[in-house]
Amino acid sequence: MKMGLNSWNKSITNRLASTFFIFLLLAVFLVGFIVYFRATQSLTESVFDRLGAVATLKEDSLNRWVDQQRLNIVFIAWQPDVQQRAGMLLDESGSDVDHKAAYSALSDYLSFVVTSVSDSSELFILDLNGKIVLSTQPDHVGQNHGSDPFFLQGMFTTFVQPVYNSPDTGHPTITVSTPLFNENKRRVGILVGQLNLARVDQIFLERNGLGASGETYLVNPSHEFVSNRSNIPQSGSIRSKGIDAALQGVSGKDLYKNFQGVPVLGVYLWLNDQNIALVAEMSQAEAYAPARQLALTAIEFGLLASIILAGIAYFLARRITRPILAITDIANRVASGDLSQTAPVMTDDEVGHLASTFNEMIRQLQLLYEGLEKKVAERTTQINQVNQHLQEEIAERKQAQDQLNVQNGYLAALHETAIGMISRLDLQDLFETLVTRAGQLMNTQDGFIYIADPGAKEIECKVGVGIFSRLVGLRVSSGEGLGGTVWQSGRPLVVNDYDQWEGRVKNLEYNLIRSIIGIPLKSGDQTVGVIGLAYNCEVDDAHTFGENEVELLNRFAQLASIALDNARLYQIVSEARAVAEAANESKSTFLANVSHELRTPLTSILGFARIIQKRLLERIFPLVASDDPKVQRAIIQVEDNLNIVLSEGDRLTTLINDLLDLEKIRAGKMVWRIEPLRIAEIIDQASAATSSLFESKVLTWVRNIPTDLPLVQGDRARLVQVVINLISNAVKFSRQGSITCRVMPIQDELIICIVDQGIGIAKEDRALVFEKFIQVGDTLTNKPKGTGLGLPICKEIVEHHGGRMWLESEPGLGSSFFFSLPINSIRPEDPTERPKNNDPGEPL
Amino acid sequence: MPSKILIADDEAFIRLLIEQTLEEFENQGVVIFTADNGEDALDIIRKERPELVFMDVMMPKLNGFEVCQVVKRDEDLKNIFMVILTAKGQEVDRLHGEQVRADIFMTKPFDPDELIGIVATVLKRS
Repeated sequence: MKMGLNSWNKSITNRLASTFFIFLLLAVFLVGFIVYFRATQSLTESVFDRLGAVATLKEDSLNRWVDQQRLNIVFIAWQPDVQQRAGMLLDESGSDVDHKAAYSALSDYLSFVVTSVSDSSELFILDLNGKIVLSTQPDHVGQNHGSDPFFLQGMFTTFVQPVYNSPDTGHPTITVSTPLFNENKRRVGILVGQLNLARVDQIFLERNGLGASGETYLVNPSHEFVSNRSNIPQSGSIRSKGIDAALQGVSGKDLYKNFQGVPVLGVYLWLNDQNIALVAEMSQAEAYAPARQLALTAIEFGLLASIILAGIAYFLARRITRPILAITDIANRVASGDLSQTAPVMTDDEVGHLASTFNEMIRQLQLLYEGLEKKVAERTTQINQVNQHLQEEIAERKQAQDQLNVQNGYLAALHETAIGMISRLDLQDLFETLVTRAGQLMNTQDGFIYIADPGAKEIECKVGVGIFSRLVGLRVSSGEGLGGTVWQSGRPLVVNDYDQWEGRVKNLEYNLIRSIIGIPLKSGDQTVGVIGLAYNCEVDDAHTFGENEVELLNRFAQLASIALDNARLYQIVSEARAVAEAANESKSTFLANVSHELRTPLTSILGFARIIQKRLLERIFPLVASDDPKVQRAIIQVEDNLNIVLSEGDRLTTLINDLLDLEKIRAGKMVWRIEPLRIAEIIDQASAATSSLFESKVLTWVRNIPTDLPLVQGDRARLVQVVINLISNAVKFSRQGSITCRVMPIQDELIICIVDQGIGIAKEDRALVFEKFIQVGDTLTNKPKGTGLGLPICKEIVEHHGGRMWLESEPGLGSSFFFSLPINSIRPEDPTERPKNNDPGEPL
Repeated sequence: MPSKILIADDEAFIRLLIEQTLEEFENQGVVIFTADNGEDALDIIRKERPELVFMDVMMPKLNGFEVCQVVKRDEDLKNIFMVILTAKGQEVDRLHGEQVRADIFMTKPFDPDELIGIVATVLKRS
């Protein structure tokens, strides 16, 4: 604020001073300009006057000079001596002696005149034919001027040929001619004088008070200087506005640039007598120098005066602003709330008036402010009253809110109870929770629960806490004590003076009970139990159970009944499941036992059959050396039959093993040895194990497995079992052709496929081959050997590895069995196994 | 001193079967003992010190695993070649066999040639 005030202060003072100064400057320069303008105007007039005067003077001088020269020539011609001698010279009848004497005398005289008296450059005499007979320049004698104006005119009278360029010299010249008479007044010739224009120069080079740059000069119509101006190069024509105007016969005055391009004031005249233009000029620079000087002086003095005046203005402005600043300062304080200030009244002028007006405003403000404070105080009182009223209302509402909160608390407790109870599935756990929760709800530690087992005549105390802990296990019958009464009636019961209550169980000491409540638990319409709570008079003698408590506990009991039903149902379900699991377990055990029991006789059958076979082949048959065909046939029959016994025994063994395997996989009891595997090894192992099967048939084994396959995770033995099973099946159902194994990595799986060219599987049978104990085809006529459990087991094994198993088949053309295995992310690390990284394997 | 083989099985047919299977060895002078329960088997083992024992598992008094365990823990007897020959072919049974350090675990029905191979190998070793 202080800062702003300062700048304002500076601003107003400076603004006044500088504005004043600027206007003064403007005035000074305006005065300077006007002075200069006016002076120039009057100077122009005066210079033109001077130039006009000079020009006229020169004109007169020139005219006078020419006239003088004319008179001189005439004077010479009229001298008797000259007339006499001219008569002699030009008398053709005279003697040579006379001629010569006359010539000599005239020549001497004229030369004298030219060199010493006249301004003529040359004097000569023409005869009446226009031929020069005598000249001051003897080499001109004999020239004929018969056609020149000065001859033709000069024959009769004195003639001045105005300025022209002499054909002899090429310079401007004036020629004066006059008739020459002899003593007998007879015209004998013409005296001609060529005037020396050097004299004209003299006239015009006299400056005659035209200052340093003023000059006068003559110009002929050919735009040439008439006077021989040695200081100016005479090249080309000279032109200027003045020269051009004068040469057109106009006389006047003007401002223009002369032939040298210098701005001049010029006066120009056309001298008709002399046939030339006369120009008098003075440079503007010189002519106007006094005007500039005058203007500069005016400005100098004006500036000096301006600076002094600006200073005065500055001090004046400061004097005016000081009281204004004082008022501003006070105004600021008033604005910030200090009404005790008054502005100093420094002067008696408008500012002083402002200060006193301002002080009056402050006084008004004070009055206004005091009034406001009073009103505020009144309002504050009113507001306080309203506030108090509001607080009272709030208190009332708070009370209502508290009640609501209590009810909400009950609801929340009920909700929590419901969730807590319904999630309890163990019955005893639920009973304890019910008693605890109910106690929490009623804010007591003492409670119990009676439960009627289904169909029982009595109810039993399942849980008792606090003073009721001794009740646990107590059985009461219908109508006996509080529990029995509630059970019988199925309605809540509150006893507020238990000591005096006639229904009490006499043999129990419940002296501590102040108030007790019993609430029935219901399942449907049936009362299945009682929850009881009591206020212990040692802890809380005043508390009794009112309507609210009965209502709340009733609701609690409804929830508790649901929880109880829930838990009972769960118990039933759990028991049923346990039974089912046990049954399943016993089935597994049974299977294991049965298989064991089956193996023992099977061992004997197979073992002895082999021994019999061995003995027969090694010891008996060699001894039967009979050629009787019947005996031979019997021997073969016995051999065949024994083989049948052995192979069927083997089949039975496999069946038992498969049955056990399947059961173990289904029951999750199979032990798996999972490790990273190369599928090629699995297939090779399986093909080695089944190689003997190929020997009995016309079948070829085609192995089509790409190198660089990713590893799979799996149980080696089980996967070998799967492949063996598939190869065995393929062999079993094929008579000829090939059995091909292919492996393809597709996305994140390996697809393994065993393809045969056997009998194939009908469409309707395809889904059944993975079912237990099913072998497709005509089982009566063409029953292949097998247990019917092979493919189901394979499917279980593959699925356990996270893969799938399926088949494609065309009856009569063959079957393809596929299974997939998820690819392990581990790549084979053996360097010899990865020749090509991008080989996807051979196509199917 | 002739080689001795003990066959322990509560099933008489099985004992007979094994005995007949090993007939060729008997002819070479190998003495074959039999027992129908675990205790007897252990007695014979201690008394006769056979080179090889074929031991059933499910037997009265002491089962095959127990007998095998006793034998393998006994410093004097542990070199006897113990073959568990049982109808119980489950994984748990195999593991049990490993635990009692049986030398071979075979399931019934067995391959006679395999039995003969085992006997030949063991007798050759001793």
